[in-house]
Amino acid sequence: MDNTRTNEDIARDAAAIRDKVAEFVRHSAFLRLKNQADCPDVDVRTLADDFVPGRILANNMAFILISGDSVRITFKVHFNLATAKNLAFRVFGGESAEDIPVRQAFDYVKEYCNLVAGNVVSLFENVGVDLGISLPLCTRGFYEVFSDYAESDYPVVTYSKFWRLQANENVIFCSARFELLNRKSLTNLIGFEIPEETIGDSEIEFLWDSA
Amino acid sequence: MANILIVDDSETVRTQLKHDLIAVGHTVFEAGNGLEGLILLQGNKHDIRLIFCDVNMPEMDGLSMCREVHKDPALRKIPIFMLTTQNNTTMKAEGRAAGVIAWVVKPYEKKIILDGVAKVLARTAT
Repeated sequence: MDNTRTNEDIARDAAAIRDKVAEFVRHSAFLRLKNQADCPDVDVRTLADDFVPGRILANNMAFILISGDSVRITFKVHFNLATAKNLAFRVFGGESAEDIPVRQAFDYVKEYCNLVAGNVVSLFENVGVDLGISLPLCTRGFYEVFSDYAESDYPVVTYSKFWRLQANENVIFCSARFELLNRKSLTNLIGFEIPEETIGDSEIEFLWDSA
Repeated sequence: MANILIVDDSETVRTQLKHDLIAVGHTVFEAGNGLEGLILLQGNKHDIRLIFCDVNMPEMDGLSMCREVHKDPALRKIPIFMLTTQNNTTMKAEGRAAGVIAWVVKPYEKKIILDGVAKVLARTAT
């Protein structure tokens, strides 16, 4: 055990871990919207200081759980149906975005949650933390009023972040609830720089050696 | 050109991939989970030549479906591509044991997928 570490050092490291975990999710949400909406200029904004956690942000909400032994993250996307239809129109096509069935619009946002979660898990793998992903779900945005956003520092560190993403005219709100269950196993996060994803990174890994 | 089965609970993924595969002349069948996939594969009456499969799905997950396919002598030679957001080494090892031959992490690039499909189909045709 390092006895030379001061309380300030410990507090600084704890804050760095909290920030990096949040950055992983925020970065993944930004990156995947950029890809999925095919929009190079996604605008990211933290919600205003007077924002009250638990406030209903949109009519609908999709969410996914990313969890493991050391961390648990609930990532939510708050969206209005018209926005989801606009975004899904790029995939499903048809006469107009308005004609996209609700089922397809919701599926699109759930898949966005899944892609964000997958990217978060990949980032954690870089620092030796294994996480799993739940199936994404979609429900009414009203249920946000039942969310618990109480913060705590001990024994489990819990905190939340809220931000807004805009791709072209489409605005969605994201929120993430973080629970750091084992801070020691997250120390590799300190100083870790998120690798830049470039077009062409995606590839097929053949598991059958002779393929 | 071949008959290809896409097993994914996301209609978004199925639609995107179906569009890309049909554009180069393949015929596509769809299933929303592993169980639906197995039902569609029974006896291989649709002459499926390649399967795309997600990992996380309701009812029956992708790896369980692959294990069932691998157990069936009539189906085990069908190459399986895993198409998932997860890139975990343990999961890939499980996939390999269940007969998965390729692992693709979403979001995929169209050209890479189509090249991979062409490569595997050419190989299995010989």
